[in-house]
Amino acid sequence: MNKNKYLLSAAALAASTIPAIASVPTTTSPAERPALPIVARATGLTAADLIVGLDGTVAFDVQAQGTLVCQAANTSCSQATNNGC
Amino acid sequence: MRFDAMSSEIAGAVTNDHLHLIVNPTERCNLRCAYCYETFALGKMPETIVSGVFNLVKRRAEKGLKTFRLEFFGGEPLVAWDVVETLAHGLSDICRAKGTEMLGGMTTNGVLLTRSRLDRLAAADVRSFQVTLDGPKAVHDRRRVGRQSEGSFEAVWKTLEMLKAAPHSLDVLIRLHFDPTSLEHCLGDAGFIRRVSASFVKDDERFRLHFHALGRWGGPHDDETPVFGSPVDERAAVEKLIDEALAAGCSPTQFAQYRRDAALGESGHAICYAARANAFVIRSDGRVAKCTVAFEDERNTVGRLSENGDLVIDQSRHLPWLHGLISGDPLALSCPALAYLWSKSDDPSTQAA
Repeated sequence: MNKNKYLLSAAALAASTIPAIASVPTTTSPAERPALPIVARATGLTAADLIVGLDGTVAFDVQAQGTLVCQAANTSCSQATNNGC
Repeated sequence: MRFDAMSSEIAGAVTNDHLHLIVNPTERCNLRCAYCYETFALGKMPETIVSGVFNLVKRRAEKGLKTFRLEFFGGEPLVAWDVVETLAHGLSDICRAKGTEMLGGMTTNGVLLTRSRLDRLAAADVRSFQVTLDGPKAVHDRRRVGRQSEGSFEAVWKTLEMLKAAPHSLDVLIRLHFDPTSLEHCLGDAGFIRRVSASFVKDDERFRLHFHALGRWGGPHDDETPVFGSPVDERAAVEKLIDEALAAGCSPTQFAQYRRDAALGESGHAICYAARANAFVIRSDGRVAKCTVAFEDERNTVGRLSENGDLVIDQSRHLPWLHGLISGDPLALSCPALAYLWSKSDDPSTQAA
């Protein structure tokens, strides 16, 4: 399985202009979204990247610390050109 | 703190460390509840699909799956007890051999759950049970009836007493249905909440409560089902019920649902299993679905499980269920069926074409 670590780290998130996670309530305005939506905004991740392989794995595994890991070889995820997935 | 829990839940909805399968051993049922939306058309899961479940989980466990959540649903799963027993023990053996933690559970009407079956299930790490009551006997027996319209209250109550007396480490979620006409029976010193709390929940952390308003879920008797006029009214009723249970001595940790500031869907959770990328419903004929409330909607069929364990997903069918993970839309997260199938979201990306 091809597991290329993608670019994003918690530090990169913290340095961005996106509001800090701890300041965001659960029911939020569209401009203040939590974890994965923040990741998506910072990286261009879309729902289309959440494709599922034959073994039920999701193409992009968003780790708890905010790291994205490309799980699936031979996928057509839109991040492919950025990370060699 | 609430937000931290939400962040963790979103991460858990995408990670490949976790797999959540809701398995229908059969879609037949021994009850005919007044508001039920199911058609009972599919019978017992054949051996080929049972093998498919085994092979899928084995493959993932061999690749380092950390947690596997197995939930039996239906129909009434215990109508196909042999399938339940085979799957529970087979999957538990696979997970134990590979170091994967299995968290097993069952949504059951409770009528067919005996002590010997509980012992067998607990031995296979199936220790979570969701059992529904519709209120006191007079209300419950009008709605949750057998095929000859016989009431089921006494049998369900007896099962809850059996669970209470069992020595196992359990997680028993008592789902209490309510509606505008039954609410009054639940409240007050002589009300049903006090009775349930005193009998099962108070001072026993193995038991939890979940209050769920009746809805018109697509069954043939929807027009006769009493429902609240608005989500605000429904939410206010939930608050009353929670306050009643707290007054009866239940702990705040014994409520399955968040309070006041949460977005809740039909699932009763901030993120429904149907909105998770790593959760699937395996129907008894091998079709793969996302939502357990909309089996008759073809958009809910997102793939098929083959005998060798391949989960063949139609991505174009699956991805609309996951939009909440990207958009953060609370409704699309808490109830993607409402947002996607029934187009009640304000987020156009989640609406049906």
